[in-house]
Amino acid sequence: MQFQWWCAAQTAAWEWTWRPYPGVWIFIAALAFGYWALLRRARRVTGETVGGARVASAVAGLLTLWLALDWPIGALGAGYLASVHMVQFLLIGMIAPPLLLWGLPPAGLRVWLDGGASDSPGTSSPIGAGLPDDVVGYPGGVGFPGDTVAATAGVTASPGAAGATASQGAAARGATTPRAPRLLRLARVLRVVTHPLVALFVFNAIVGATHTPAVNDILMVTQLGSFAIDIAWLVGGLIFWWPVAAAAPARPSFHPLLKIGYLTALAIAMTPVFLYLTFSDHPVYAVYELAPRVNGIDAHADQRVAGLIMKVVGGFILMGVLSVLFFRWATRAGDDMTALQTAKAGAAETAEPVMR
Amino acid sequence: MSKLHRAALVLALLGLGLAGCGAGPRDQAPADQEWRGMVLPQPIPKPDFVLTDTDGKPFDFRAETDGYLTLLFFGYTYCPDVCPVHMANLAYVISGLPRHLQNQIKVVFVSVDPERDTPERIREWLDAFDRRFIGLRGTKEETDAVLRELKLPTPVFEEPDEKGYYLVGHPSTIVAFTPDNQAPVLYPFGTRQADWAYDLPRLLEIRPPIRVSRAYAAVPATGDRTSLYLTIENNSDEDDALVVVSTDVAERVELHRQVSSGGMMRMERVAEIEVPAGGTATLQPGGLHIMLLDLRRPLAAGDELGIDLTFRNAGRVRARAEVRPYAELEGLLGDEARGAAAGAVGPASRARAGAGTPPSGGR
Repeated sequence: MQFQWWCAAQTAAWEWTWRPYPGVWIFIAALAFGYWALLRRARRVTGETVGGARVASAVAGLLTLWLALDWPIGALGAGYLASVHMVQFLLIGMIAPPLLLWGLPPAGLRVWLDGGASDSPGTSSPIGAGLPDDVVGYPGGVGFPGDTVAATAGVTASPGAAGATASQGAAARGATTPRAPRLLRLARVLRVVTHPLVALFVFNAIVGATHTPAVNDILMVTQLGSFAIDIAWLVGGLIFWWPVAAAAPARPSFHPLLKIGYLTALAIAMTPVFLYLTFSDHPVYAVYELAPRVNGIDAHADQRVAGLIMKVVGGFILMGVLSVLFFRWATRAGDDMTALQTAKAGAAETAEPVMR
Repeated sequence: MSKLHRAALVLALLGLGLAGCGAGPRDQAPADQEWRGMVLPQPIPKPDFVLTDTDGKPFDFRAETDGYLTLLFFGYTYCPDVCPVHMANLAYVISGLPRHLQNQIKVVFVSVDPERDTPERIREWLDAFDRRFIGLRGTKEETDAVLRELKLPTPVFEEPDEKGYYLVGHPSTIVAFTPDNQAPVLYPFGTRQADWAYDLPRLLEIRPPIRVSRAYAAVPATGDRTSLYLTIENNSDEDDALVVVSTDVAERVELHRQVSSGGMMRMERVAEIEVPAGGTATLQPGGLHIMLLDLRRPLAAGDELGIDLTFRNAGRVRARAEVRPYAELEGLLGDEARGAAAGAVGPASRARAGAGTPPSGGR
């Protein structure tokens, strides 16, 4: 077999012999380093210490990516089995992104996003502005226990502000540090592309395009092309999952019921790809049909399994998230109702004349 | 709704639409594309060779595959890529065709690596794809001779590795012989299932205007004459007739029919045997037959003889006949004739009594 830095289709027969893909290691290492740097920066800027659960989520996301891209899944999916290719898609586009997004530092993200919404770099940003509940949680939120944030809702992070502690002062100094316009522009772009409707479009366009036989067959035979598909899935997945799973939402007004509709729309949008793969009369991807067989698995059966994996496993992922969102929303709505009734009862008690 | 919201909604709807409209499968071929395979400028005639099948019996390729769509492939069972993909794709597509079309296709795999490919191994390997696939092997010289006749490259053997495993470079092309025993199209590696599904039924339609099959001569009861039986299919759109038969084993050849007259059976010479358009003429004991007269050499059971049949429209058609004892032929052709008659399309054949000198042939 020819040496490859990234998994791509090969004409050689499949062998269950480990092979190195250094490009994958470098990519995962770069992401891990980027995450570590982000945590450090968030701590410096906001004084935020990200909880262990978030770090574990991000690490799980990175491990999921590694699993999907490296041998054997990466190699099998790149050039031998459409079913494994579909597993790769689910790992890269549907599982890793929410885990990574959950793992981001919420306060740091909020500072960046709010700064990105502003046209005045260098001015102090109201940390926590727009966060109705707390910095780490939002309606239907994803707060993890253990997150500590220097600035809390309602505290303006400017030096010497009332209520700010010494450590918060350090955080505030960071918050007012002028940031590069490039980052601001990126934040603005992020706010636009993570608009739920835009995100839905982008992800579905990527899913549709990368599963088109002509595109897949052209790209999967080169390492650069295969890399492009993997990155497209990851970026598309991050964009799609941002409104649902980001540690700090770009748009806090995205109601949990709308999120449920959003995820349902994805499930519907993926159905044509599932139908196409599962019910085609013949294999649609030349790269898998003409690949040396792995353990005698028939190309057409393999493609049908790919379609079923997309529908069934993808459906389970979406249903799982949908269920969590729904029950959180229902619980929160129930709590709010109880609080409202308690408040009303209290108010009534106060207003009611004492009859003795 | 803000402008951003409206734009985003439009984008999302477009995205949903895009996800649903992948490129269609390739079996919707452009109308002007006649074949998915590689069309040859000059069709290759079916080669005449005998190799050994997986039961250890001689396999006469031309005779055994006559009239079938025959897909001939040269490979080896240890092949890691091309051979299993070709076989798997063919097996899948053929199994999806209607049964009557499946029965008109023969896939013949010839091993280019007889050292490792034992008959048992070839059989086991082919059975993983389709039990009907035919496996053949011969000596390297025999296989190379066939490859050269087909103008295909002969195999190249790589040096074995430390485990003794070696790769063999071999033609990756499947040669498709249509029922008229010509190969107008080749199918190189890269031929997809959709391509086969598109081409196979159309390859089956290429039939010779006249096809002669089930040709048998009886072991002569007397030393100088015998009868010849065969089946003629007219695949053309116009009526035709067998007018002359010749063979190098007989001085004279006549067309006859057996008729009953006054409780007696007698033979009557006919000028020609008509084969209606789309119909079949069955020459069998007790009916129409060909008489080989003044035999030039004795004929024994198992012998083969070449015959030339000349038709009014289709011209000359060559065939081979096997010599069998008459008693055996009565049962064999009686059953086959009944089967052929049951499956025959179109009107039955007729003989026309000759006026004047009946045509005959001989060499």
